[in-house]
Amino acid sequence: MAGHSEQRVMPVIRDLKDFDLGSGSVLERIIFNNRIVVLLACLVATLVLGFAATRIQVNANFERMIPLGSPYIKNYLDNKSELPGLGNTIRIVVENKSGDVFDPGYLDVLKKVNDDLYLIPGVDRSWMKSIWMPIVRWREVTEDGITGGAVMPASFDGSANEIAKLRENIGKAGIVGRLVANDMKSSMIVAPLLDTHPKTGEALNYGEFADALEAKIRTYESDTVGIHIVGFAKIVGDLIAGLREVMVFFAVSVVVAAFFVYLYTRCVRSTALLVTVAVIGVVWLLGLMQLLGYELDPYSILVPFLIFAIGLSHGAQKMNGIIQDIGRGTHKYVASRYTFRRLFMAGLTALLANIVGFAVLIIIDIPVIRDLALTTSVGVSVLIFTKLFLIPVALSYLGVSESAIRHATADDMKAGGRRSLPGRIWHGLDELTERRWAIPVIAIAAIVTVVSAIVMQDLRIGDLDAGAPELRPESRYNRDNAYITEHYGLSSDQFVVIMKTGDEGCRLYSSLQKMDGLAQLLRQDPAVQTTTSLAETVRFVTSAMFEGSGKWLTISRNQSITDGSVSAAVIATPDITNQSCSVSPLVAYLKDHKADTVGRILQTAEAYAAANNTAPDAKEPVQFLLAAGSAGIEAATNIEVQKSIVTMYLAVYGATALLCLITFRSVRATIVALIPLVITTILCKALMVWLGIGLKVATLPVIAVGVGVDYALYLLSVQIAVQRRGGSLRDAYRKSLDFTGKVVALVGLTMAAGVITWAWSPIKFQADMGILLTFMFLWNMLGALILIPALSHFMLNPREPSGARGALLRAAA
Amino acid sequence: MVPGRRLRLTLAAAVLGAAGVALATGSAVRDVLTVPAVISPQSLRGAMSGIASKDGRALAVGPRGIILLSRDAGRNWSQIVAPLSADFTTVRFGAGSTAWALGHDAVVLRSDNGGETWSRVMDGHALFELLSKHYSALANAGNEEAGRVLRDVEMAAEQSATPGVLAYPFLDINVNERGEGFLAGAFGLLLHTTDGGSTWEPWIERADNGRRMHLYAIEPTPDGGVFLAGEQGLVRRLDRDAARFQTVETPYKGTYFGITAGDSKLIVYGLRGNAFISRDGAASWSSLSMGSDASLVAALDRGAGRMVFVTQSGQVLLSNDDGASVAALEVQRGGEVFAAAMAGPEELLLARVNGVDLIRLPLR
Repeated sequence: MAGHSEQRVMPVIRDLKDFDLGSGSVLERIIFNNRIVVLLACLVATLVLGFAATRIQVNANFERMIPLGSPYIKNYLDNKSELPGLGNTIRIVVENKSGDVFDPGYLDVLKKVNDDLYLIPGVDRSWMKSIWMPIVRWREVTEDGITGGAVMPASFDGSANEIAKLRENIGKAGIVGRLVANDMKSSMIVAPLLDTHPKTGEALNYGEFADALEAKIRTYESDTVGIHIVGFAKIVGDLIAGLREVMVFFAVSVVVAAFFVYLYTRCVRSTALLVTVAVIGVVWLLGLMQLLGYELDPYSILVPFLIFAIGLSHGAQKMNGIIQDIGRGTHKYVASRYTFRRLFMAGLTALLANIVGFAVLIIIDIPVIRDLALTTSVGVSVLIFTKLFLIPVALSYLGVSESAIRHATADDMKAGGRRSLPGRIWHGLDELTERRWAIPVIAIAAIVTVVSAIVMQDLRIGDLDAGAPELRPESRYNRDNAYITEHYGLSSDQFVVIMKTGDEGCRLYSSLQKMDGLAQLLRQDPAVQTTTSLAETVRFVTSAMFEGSGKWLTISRNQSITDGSVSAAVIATPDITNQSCSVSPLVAYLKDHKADTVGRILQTAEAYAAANNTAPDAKEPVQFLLAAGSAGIEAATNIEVQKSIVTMYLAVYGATALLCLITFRSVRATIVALIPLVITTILCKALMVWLGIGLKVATLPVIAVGVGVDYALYLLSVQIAVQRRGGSLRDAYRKSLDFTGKVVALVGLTMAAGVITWAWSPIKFQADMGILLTFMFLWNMLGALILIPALSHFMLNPREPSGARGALLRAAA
Repeated sequence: MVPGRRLRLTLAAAVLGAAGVALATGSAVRDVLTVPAVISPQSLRGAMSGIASKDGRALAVGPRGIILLSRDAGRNWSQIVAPLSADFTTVRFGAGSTAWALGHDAVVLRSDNGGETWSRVMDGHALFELLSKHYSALANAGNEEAGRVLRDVEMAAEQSATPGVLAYPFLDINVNERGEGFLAGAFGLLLHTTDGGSTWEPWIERADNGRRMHLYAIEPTPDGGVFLAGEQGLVRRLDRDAARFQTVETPYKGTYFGITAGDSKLIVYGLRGNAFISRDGAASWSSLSMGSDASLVAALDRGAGRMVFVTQSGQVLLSNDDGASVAALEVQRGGEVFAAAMAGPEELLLARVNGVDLIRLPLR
């Protein structure tokens, strides 16, 4: 940008022989005197990185979406391997749409589903449960003790007699609401998953597993049979499927952005070149990501879209200069060199601004956001090569078409004339620098900002929709989840507190009493539907051991009674504690996962832990560790997001302000550049309130992204340069508009085109990101074009030669 | 400055300070025998293990120190502050406006105002001291039976997670107008009082219960007798002259959860729908067919041969002929039932795993 202020003399040179190859900077000479080498190097890089790009993995790793530095998450991760029953289970509900579960035809289908699931690699067969599995048993207290058997009679043949027996066994087994729906119209197969593929020994690929579920289980769905599948692996599978779909959107983004570039250049040849180079930039980026060990996940898939859009719009700007030079009759090679000379520093600064805007996100302690920051920075660095070197060199061979030159020069000639309404508005923009326009514009902006600032107070943290917030509420997964929640009575919003004791410490009366106390405390909260824990189970098991008497619903202080109950509880429900009886989960089922709710539960549990945790070296150590479960992780993430937002604003605005100060050498200009950004941030938050989008990991980077500042950089640097040469504000802004205004519009439109397609992503948070980014890109552009002249009227308008202008010049010195 | 007010403030500060210390030092201090029950609306939906009614009042108790009181015969309930949070098993009304609440850790609470306020009569500490003192004196005097009881008590104390606290529950109490009565519990616990429950004398060895079967129920008969019922077919009758309980043979070897005495009849009932009636003072018994496999938790006498039997699975079985034939009442499904009581001629109270239930019975 600074380059504009030093417009060197660049004579029109029609013949290449008249051009001094030794002119220009060292870098320029190296590149343009070795064009073949540059092109070959780019070709080799494209081939090598392109090959790497084809091997990039598509994945969705939940652990990368949570703040690993949070002490809550650390507790969860430290104990994760000891808590196999939490989350990593697939639940399949087979529904009889035309009757109940006591229908021989239905039971037959259920058996087939059961047997097919049993054979899918990754299912932990020994713990799979359904009414067809022999480990699901009924129990009955008799005079001789407890008797029992498999719920499904061994001799089951579908006869009325056997079905009556099954009905009775289901009643005795107490599985209604767990394996059989409350309305008896469906039953559930619960399958814990192994961590590793049993044949290959590699980590289980959830994408493949989910595909197998769709191929082998979902296919049983018919007019009479409904299949509902939920579980962690299914969410991951659906996210990966969603990612594949989003990759198709890329093609749409390319077409839309190319269309805008064509409108700008009116030259097929150069549009094709720009699109190709932008795609090459993406290929390089994907290759580098693969080589650096990154995967494409639902967050990092944003990066190729952004890089494409940035690459394309900045390339078009380069093109602009070349067209103008060629239009004046300069040889295409010389024009390319001139443009390089003119725009290298400006382009570099703009790209560095982008890098800074993204790179500051690294301070957020959430891996996906860090990855986003790093990969975007890598991507923008790639653009320095493709955009600053490859495009000028390629153009020096290709040149531009006659039609493009005609369009550009016609545009120039018409610049002052009267045209269509948009044209008139465009050409009237400089009037905003006058007082009669500046005041109303600023007043409107102030009112809108104040209203938005009030609205944004209602911005919620976290997610509100039921089910898996990663997916859309109307997605198949969330409909399945809603069905299961409705018919089986337990929500999927689990808040888990981990009780950590010494080995065998979970049996101790004191530990169980404390756990029971916490469970009781949590149940006081109206948002807690119920709790399950070893402590509560011990009460029921003790009662069962004393002939089912309700007078024994106790955690007995008699340690040998309680020991027996814990052992029986572990046999009945192995995931109720770990192997060594030292890590035991307490699960609270929440009505919802609103930030208020999970935050309140977190506080309650934390206060209890603070009051009841012993020292780790106590004789009977007991520690309550927060937090696991979907709602527990959500609570921890919300805290981190809330903490991060302020840091993020300080960092982004700090970096942006610094960049502006360096570029403009003027505090006033920096303020003029920043005000539209701040307003956009406030409007964006209000928009989130209106659209019901919460502040969460996915939207956090979006509302802080400092991409918008380059608009101001373009506009203000030309304007200030002209002003410093003595031009009036209005003239300066007019020149600035003529020189870079269209580029600003183009950048805004292509960037928006790159992300708008996301609004249709099957992944909910990507859709939210897409909508917000589109808004940010467009609004920042409008804000820059409209507010900068109006603000300049007050901030950068030297009325007396010795006053403000003098200050401006001094600042520049 | 009002001196009284200042004192109260200082006291409050002292209490807060003590609580702070208790919180900081952690768990050892927090024992269900010292921590009062949590008062919460959730308690109304918690598990209830015992229920009783008298003169338009009703009481229900459950785990975690929950005591619920109704002053309108079971229509509206509110939670009453209990001085401890042990798991209650049984609640009974006694003579006048006395009420008793029994629980694990040998807890006995007494109310002298129909359940409005409660004070501690006994707990695991007191019982351990009582039994140790009583039986070691007897054992030292050469009583072999007392020696055996003493060893059982010591073993129970060793198994307790808290030294010096017996964990076993009391399961039933009956103290008559003259102040004589019994307190029975698990593992053969049996105490006798003659002063209305102020002092208790251990009777563990006086129930012909060498295997220390649980004693689930105490039932006085209209003619002044007392029966016990319990584990593995145990039925005992008080022999006042011998100051002992004597064995009564019954046809069943499963557990009896209760025994009901009426005019010239005795009904014992328990596991798997088993119930037996005797009309000859416990000499001979005949089986009553309940048509249910579920345990019986109550057999309530409505007079004139009309009985109400309640099973743990929630069936309400009505009879007009002392249980010879029963008809199931259509009752809305609910959680398991652990105890039942009549709150009036037509009102049946159920203590369920998910709260208290009031059911209207047909008069006939």
